[in-house]
Parts: sequence; structure tokens; C-alpha cells
Amino acid sequence: MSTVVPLITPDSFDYRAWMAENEPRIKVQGAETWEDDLLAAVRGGNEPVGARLPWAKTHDRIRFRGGEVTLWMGINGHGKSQILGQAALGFAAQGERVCVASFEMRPVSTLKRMLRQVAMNDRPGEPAVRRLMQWAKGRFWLYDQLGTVKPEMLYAVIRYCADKLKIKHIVIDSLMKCVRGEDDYNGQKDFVDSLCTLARDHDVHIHLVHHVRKGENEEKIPGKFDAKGTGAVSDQVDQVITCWRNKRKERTVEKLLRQGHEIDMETRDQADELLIVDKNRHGEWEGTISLWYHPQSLQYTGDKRCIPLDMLGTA
Amino acid sequence: MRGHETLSRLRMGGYKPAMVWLTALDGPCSRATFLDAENTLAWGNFPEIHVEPDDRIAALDFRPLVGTTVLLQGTDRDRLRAIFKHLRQFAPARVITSDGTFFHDTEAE
Repeated sequence: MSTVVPLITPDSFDYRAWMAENEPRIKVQGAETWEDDLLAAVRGGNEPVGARLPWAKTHDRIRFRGGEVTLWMGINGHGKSQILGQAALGFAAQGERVCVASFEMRPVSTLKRMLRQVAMNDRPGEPAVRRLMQWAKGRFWLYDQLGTVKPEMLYAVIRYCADKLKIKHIVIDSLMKCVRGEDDYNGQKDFVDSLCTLARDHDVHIHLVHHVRKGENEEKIPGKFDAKGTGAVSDQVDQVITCWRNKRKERTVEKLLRQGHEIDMETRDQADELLIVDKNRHGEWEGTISLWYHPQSLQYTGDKRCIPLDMLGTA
Repeated sequence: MRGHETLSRLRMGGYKPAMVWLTALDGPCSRATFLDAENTLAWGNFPEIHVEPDDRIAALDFRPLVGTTVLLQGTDRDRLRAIFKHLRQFAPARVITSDGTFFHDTEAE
């Protein structure tokens, strides 16, 4: 007669108390514990690591690594999703798989915008569609859910994307579609806390889109303290980037053209969009990146010549 | 390291496994459904904890192994020795260690 060993048995041991009592044994370590990590960091020099934005001038300043969360915030209509869409194309072009979970746009609308960014014009044809689709296969995924989403559903999607699809960048657009409301501070804090944990555990970078509070006017550049809801959102994430559209320039240009004047150099040189890096936990640089807008391609460019980039060739 | 979270949840719930496989892997932990250490209990097997080559041994949280019989295995003897030394701080009931060329049982000490 064989002896059956039960896999699991009830236990009277007070495990919770043991966990608490032994917490310091795990969490308090001598500095020498990190010797190998420090050596590796020194050997690698101060070269930044992680996925790059499409604009060369940003490469030494800000990167997007696995295990971190970036908050992309800004006023409605100031280009958060569009810039992030272009950045996501760039990540995919660098060989890092991307999934976009937009609860504000249908997948086909997201793809239409991407198509113009890839085609570099405002009337892409069927060949451009086929080129994009062929390129996107195995690089780009979309989560088809419009409206609100339960956090638990989204956590499952993140786990699936990371484990099964080996995705490295997950775009969530936007935070307010994943929590109960602007005043649900605990819900927002818990949601962002869970995203940070998921990013760390699954080595993915999560890009979270968030709105800012209504300010005096759109000409005032919002900062990280202007994020809607609880301040804990920007406290918890690793990077905060504010997207700000230069509407004053747009109005000046419109007025000059209406009056039949040419656009003067001073106006032309002004950036159309600013990316303000307000928080960069793992990098030293914080500051502002100027971008110029190419309306036909819906692309943002790194200099005032405004020449759209070949996004599929960005590496 | 993978597998310790499921085991910790089990222990929090007031249950103890009869044995736990603790494996020092030569490569990264698999996250494939049937190979992920976090899933072994769900498939009706003994729980497993997988340690990766890059894991800092001094920082490994072996608290869920308190009072259990641990079957420690791997191919790098120095690493097994270091894991064994670290593991003993967490009061396992018994540790049986092997790399295929040696066998050590703490009950025989």
C-alpha cells in the first residue's frame, strides 16, 4: 500500500506574525549586497538606457525602461495622445513591442492617425495601409475597449501583454477612464500603485495618460502639481511629462495669414509644442523639449524645419 | 525569483505545503503558463520557487519557506551553498540539497 503525501495541510503557525517579525531580515541589507549592481552600473558608464523618443535631441535626456511608469499629462487637445502615438511608433521601430489601450478612441481611429504619421502626409492610400499593417504585425497591439474599464480587467490585460505577447510598452489612455471619478482619490492612488507594481514585476514600461485641472487659460503651462485628482498619482510614477500646445503661436499665425502678411521669423521659430519633463526619477535631466508640428502628417518634429520623420525607419 | 508570491499567499491563508522545490536556475525564470513557478500549485504539483542567476541571494525573501521541507537543487555548487546559507536564516524544517553530484540532508547533520 502506498503512502499518500498531501500537497497542502492546514497550519496553525502564525505566518503573518512571522512575516512581520522577519521583515527587517529581508529589507535591511548591508550596502555590499548591491556591489555587483553598482559595478555593472559603473562599467556601463553614464550612458542612458531604455527606449528612445523619436527626436534625436531627447536621446541623452529621457528614456523609457522596463519596470517604470511615465505619466503623460496635459490639457485637453494639447496633443498628449498624438505625441504618445508617435512615440509608440518609435518604440515599436526600435524592436520594443507596444500595446495601446485607448478608452477614448476606437482602434481604427488610433490606426488612422498612426497611418498619417507613418505615411508622412494627409492622404495616405492603400499601399500605405498595407505597408503599415505588414510592419505592425508582431510589433503593435491594440486593446479594443471604449469607455470605462475596471482596473482588474486592465491588470489582466497588462499581465497577458507582458507574459504572452512579450510587450514592453503599454499605453493607457487615460487614467480617468479606469477609476470611478475625479474625487476617487483612494481609487486613483491604488490604481497607480498597482500599475507601478505590475510594471516592476513584469518589466514593462507603462505610459499613463492623464488630464490636468482647468487652469486660468491654456497659455499657462501646467506643472506636475496641476494633475487632476490626487497628488499621489505624480508622486508614485517614475517620470512625468507635460504636453503643452503653443496656442498663442497658432493664433498669431492665423491672424497674420488672415491679414495677408507673411509669418515673421520670430513667430516661426517658436515651438508648436513643449514636452516638459517635470520628474525623471532615474535620470538627471529635467527640462523642456521644443517640438514643431507638421499638420499633414500629424507628426511632431525636433526642429523648426518641420520635416516629418520616417517613423518605420526610426531606430 | 518566481513562485514565492503564490506560496506566501498560501501561507497567509493558513496552509503549509509538505515540500517545496527551490531551484537555482542557470537562466531566466520562465513565465510560460505551464513552466511558471507561480503556477505549479494551480496544476496540482508541489510549489516551486525559481531563483535566477541575476538574483541577489542576500535579498531573496524565503520567509514562505519557514517550517517546510525544501528540496534545493541547481548546477552551480557555489551558488547552492550561498542559497543554502541564506535559506537557513528562515528556519525551514529540513533542507535536502543536490546538484546531481552530491546530496546533503540537514536531517542527517
